[in-house]
Amino acid sequence: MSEIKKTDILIVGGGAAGLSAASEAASYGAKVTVLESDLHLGGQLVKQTHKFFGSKDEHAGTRGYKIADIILKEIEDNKENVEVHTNTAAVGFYKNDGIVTAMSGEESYFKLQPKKILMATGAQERIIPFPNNDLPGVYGAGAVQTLMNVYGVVPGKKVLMVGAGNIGLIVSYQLMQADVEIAAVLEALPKIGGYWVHAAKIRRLGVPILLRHTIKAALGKDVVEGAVIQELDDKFQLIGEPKKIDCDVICLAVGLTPTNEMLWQAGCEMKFVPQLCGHVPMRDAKLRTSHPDFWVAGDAAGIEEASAAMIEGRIAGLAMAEALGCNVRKENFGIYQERLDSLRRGEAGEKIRCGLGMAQIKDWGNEE
Amino acid sequence: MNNEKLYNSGVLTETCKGAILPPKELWEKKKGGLVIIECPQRIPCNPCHTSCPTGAVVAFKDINDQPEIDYEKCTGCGMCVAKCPGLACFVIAPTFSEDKALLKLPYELTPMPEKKDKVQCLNRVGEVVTEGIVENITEPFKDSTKVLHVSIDKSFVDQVRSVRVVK
Amino acid sequence: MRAAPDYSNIGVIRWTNSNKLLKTQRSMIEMQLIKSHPILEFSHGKLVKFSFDDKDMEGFEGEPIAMALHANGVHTYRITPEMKRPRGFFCAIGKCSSCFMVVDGVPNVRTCVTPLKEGMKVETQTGKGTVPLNVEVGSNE
Repeated sequence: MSEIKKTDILIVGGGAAGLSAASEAASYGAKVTVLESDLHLGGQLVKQTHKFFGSKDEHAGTRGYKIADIILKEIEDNKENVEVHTNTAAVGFYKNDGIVTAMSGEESYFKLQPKKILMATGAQERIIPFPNNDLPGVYGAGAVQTLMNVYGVVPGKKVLMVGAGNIGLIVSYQLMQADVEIAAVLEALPKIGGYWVHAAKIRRLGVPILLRHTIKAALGKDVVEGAVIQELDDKFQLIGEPKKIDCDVICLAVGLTPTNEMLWQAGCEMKFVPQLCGHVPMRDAKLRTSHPDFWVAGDAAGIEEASAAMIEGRIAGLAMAEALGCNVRKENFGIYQERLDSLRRGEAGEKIRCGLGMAQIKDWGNEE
Repeated sequence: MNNEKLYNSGVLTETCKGAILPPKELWEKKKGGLVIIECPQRIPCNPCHTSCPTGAVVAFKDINDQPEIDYEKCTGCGMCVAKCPGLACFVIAPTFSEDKALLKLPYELTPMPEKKDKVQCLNRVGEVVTEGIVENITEPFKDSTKVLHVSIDKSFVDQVRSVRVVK
Repeated sequence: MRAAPDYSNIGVIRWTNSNKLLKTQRSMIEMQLIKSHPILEFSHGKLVKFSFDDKDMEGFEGEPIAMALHANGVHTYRITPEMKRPRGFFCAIGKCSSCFMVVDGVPNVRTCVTPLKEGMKVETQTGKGTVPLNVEVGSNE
């Protein structure tokens, strides 16, 4: 247990970004170790039963969980270079000696000394404050997806979805596929935040999407038994009469925020960027942070979506392999960047472009 | 609810860029039907074009553009219906019979209907407006998105965009 | 593995290993599991017995404890120290601490990412939990 595992690249997080980075770096011969705190690889991809948007390069038209399989198959082709630990969480980074500590399950610790580290730890759900928001039955949207799409467990009988961004709309549809009724989808803004087509899909199945509405309180003693909702005016003040809605699950899809605590431990330069939904590291075009050994990719770099996470993973994997001296195809930087830019070019990418304007610099100027 | 509010919650209230109707004369004569895509928002997405075997869904200059259709090339094959991640493509053939049109729409729910089943036909806000009969079921990409071919009374072609299977 | 009659043409429940059908079918009807899905086919591991607050229950080995509890209709996992509020799970990916329970005597176990093992003793955690001084380390590995 006191032996320190050495590796070229440590990737913390085996989701869309982490696996793409592992595949990319391993293809150039770098020795990669992936730590994944969940019981299986794939991150959020594994729960996505819907078909992805974007372009063919990012597997548009293919269901999310199958995309995870595609990337895992790529890693298989280079498996002598990739070591995977699931049920293992990275718990600390020690600046003075570059050691990362990891915990397998609940009891066993080990240490790693990587040359380069990628933070691909994704995001966590946010909550909004309302009375009884801690009752069993108030679940994050991702949690509901895990229950029904990964483990086949019925989340409940009738769900109130709070939030009409992409996650709220997609999870509502997935709930209907699992034969769960949706009482309503609430959205505080005057229009849905997610793609119009996701909303159209559920509207035509009879699901009410109540714009300018919020949840006022959850009802119940030991578990959720209902909710109180109310309308908002254009200054987000409550108007009208509160209404009671029957439900046994309140699903919160009110946004995500990046999880990247280890970067603080490493002393990376961090910045609060609202458009990227939280504190994110400053990074250059190759996704390197202010610390010369730390890279970041995926939602941990800023909340976006899976297609972008996969490309960012590739850019980071390529950059880390390059930094290690591997003989990489440098033209791929341009190719991947163009794919990323094209996803972000339209109106749907405006928020991200604005956020990146604040978090991204051209280069650190102190290349080794 | 006014039209703007309906649109903002995901209900199409009028034709617009990305949500047009086929030219009337061509449509009424075309055996096999023509595609109707209801995708008015600019988002980065183009499987409707990459899955179209005839090029009827025109190549995107920019992946964020709304889909454009060359109706002369559309054969009503329904590939885009099965491929679209937003389930936004439909094929409608008004030539099915004297008083019925055939609607091809994507279906990924349970229970799965069988040929000859009657289904409830819903409009864009989920209200039951008529009954239809499942004439055929295909699964072009063998990826669990079925395409249901449902015959409905012609007067409802502008309204029906989903079905409910009651067993 | 006991041989079972062939239930593969019943239609609704699809399994990859038909030998498990008889026992798991009965349990599935009792447990709140998704019986048919238009896209996904669920393949669970071995069904094992565990105890929750001294009640016998069944769950799938290797899947998170919290999933097994939820499937058995148990939604409250702990009671908070100050205000005695019931808590279930929230994030289901081990990041929020809502689902902590006492498992085999060890408190603050993240049941949403800890795999279920045969014979596990799972208890509602009241308050912050106490760390026992004489638990055998490494007994599960």
